[in-house]
Amino acid sequence: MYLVAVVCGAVLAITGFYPVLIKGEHISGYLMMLHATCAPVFAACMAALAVMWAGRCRFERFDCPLTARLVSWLGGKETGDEVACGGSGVGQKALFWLLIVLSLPLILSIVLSMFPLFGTHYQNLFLGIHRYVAAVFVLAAALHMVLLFRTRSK
Amino acid sequence: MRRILILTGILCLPLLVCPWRVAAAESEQKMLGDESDGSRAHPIHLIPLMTEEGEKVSPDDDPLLPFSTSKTCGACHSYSTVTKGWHFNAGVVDIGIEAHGRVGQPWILADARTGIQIPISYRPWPGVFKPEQVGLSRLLFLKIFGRHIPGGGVGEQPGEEPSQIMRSMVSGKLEANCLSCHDADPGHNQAEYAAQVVRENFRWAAAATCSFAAVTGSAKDMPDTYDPMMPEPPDDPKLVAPAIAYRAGAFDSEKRVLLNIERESAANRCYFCHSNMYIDGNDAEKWSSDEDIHLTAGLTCVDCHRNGIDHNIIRGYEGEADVSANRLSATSSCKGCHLPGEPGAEPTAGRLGAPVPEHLGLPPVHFERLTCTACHSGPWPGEKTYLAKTSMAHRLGTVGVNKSAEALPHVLAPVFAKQDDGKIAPHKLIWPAFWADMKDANVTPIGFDAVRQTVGKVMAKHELPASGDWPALSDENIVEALKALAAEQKIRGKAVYISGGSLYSLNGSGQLEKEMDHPAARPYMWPIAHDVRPAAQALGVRYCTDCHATDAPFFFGAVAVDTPVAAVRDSAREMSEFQDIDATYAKAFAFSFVFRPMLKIVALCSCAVLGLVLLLYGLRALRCVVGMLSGQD
Repeated sequence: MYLVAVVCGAVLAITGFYPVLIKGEHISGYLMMLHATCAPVFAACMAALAVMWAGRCRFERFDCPLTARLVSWLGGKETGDEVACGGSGVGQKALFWLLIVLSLPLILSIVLSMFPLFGTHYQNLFLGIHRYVAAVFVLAAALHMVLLFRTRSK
Repeated sequence: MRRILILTGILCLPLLVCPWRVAAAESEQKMLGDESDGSRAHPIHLIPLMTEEGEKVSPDDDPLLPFSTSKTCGACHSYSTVTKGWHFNAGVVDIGIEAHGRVGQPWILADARTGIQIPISYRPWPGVFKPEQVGLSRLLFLKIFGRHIPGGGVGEQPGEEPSQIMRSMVSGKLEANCLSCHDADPGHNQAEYAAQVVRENFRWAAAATCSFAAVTGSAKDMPDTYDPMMPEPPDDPKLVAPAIAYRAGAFDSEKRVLLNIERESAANRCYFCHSNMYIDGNDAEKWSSDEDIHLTAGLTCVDCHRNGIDHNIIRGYEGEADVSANRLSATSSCKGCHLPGEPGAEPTAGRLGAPVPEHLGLPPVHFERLTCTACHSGPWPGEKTYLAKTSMAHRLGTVGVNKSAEALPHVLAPVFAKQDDGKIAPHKLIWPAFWADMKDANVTPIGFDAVRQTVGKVMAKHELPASGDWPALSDENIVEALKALAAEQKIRGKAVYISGGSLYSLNGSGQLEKEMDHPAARPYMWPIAHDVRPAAQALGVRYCTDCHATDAPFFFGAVAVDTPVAAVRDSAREMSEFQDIDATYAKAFAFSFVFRPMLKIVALCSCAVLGLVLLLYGLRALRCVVGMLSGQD
């Protein structure tokens, strides 16, 4: 599932950014069709991954004392004994949730523009949201993959 | 010191006087009617009529002469300025190639007998021929097309040869007919203008349109020596010299006539030259189709197509401001009225009450690929292009018009094609058909008279359809005609026939060869702007599949290949060929829209799942945080 999501994501990133960054024009033609073909697959994969990985990616006490310290500071209490940070697992979890959160505006910005609900101004706005969220998403996804491979290789 | 002051004063005096004199000189160049005093009320034109000699017309004159617009209207309005304007400047005023702007409707010389329909124009638009290139002299051009010319331009040129100059002295000049547009008299009869032009009564044509004047006779029948100022009755009693009679009571006691003049021409005036009809298989009567939505909404043509005394009328297309000196051209296009301008600039949207469109659900890329007219103008596209008739091409509004749908020339519409600016727009199209001389790669039309003599003789045995359509030409007919042309006319290269996008010629052994898609046989297209349909009838108003479907006319409609050649008469091309689009891609993209609803459902369901996961784990995280804060483990 993760592999499918990565492949789809890569195709979406390339087909989406290449015309804009390299050719300076809107996505169109066969690139557009490929983009639109991979998009629902990617969305479904993200939903499935969210369901499958949410449990193991929830933050726990030993993940990092920083969060415990933050919460204690907010509550005005002592933290007690600190546990060593769980390492790159925290980063992965954080990136996972970031990707899940970014998926919503990424998908919704395009799907909502397909309905006759919003005029040209909002169409341009949604396109802008889609572009910038996609850029952050790609960066976060790349980082997530790096951390995942590091963890797996240890 | 005193001397210096006096000297300085004397030297400064001219500086004080000269600007006033310059201003006076500038205002002296403008005539009474060239500048408005600001009043929107119409001045009353109770004025004397003037002949071309500058004499006042009096009802008891003998001979009674027609009034001249250049002298009558020109008494208060700068005629020379007016006749540099768009309607008058084709072929006579050097306005620069760029100023001719976007390609427009040509004149179409059509002849069923010889299988000709060829676009001609005095404007240097690509794809049209100059009248002299097809053997039309100025006089012949005026006789054929002067019916829908407002005068001026080539109508006032003396002609190239001595015989034409002599004739122009008999016929007179076809002056700019101000009344064609500005006469608000309900009795104004523009069809009479066409009738007079055919009779070569150019001097009388403008006056003939007035309700208070009647013109009889024919200058065409008069000898070259005929003098309208001292008319001699013709020898043949059957021939009638041109004469004018003014209605009794038209002149007041001071020999003035009341002309009902309006600055803002009524749509009815424009309609005489700019009417369209689309023959879509249904009843093509006017009552069964709607006018342009702008007119229905209460605007008139001149609310958008404006000009000053220079008559540099706005044509109203995107990009016109780059080539037009009319300062309103940028704000008088579709975008100019309907869309907001640049942020921060003075607001110009909503001119004339124009609604600002929302274009709900329309991806912005459409505005880069399509003109506004692609979705909003012309007839709703059908499976096949329709035959269209226009005033200029089909003599609409004149006496004795062939009302048959198949009458030549055959104009097809709508054809969605890519313009020079890269945007797809609806067009009218004709497939040029003409006999030509091809030397190397150059294809030059053979003169109309020569073709009529030679090819007309070959085709004489063909019965012409009553509908005005051209007869079917077999390959043998074409071979016979090409051989006759080669034998009887001075052909520098070889005789060819252009028709239906193909070039027909004889090979070395005298057999007919056909070259498809020859550059010289390319169709001539000009953009459609009217009639604009209401927003509720725009393409895409129902769903994307108005255009993005595998059977949608926008991409896959059939453009008839119009030709008299029997073998290919019923052939057609696909619309996408005119849009510079890969047909396979167009089909695949259109097919993908079948899955669009599924894409939306999958995406929305995925978002719902993602949202639920975020909500669930967010609430759990919130519970943990609250627990930690309250001291629970």
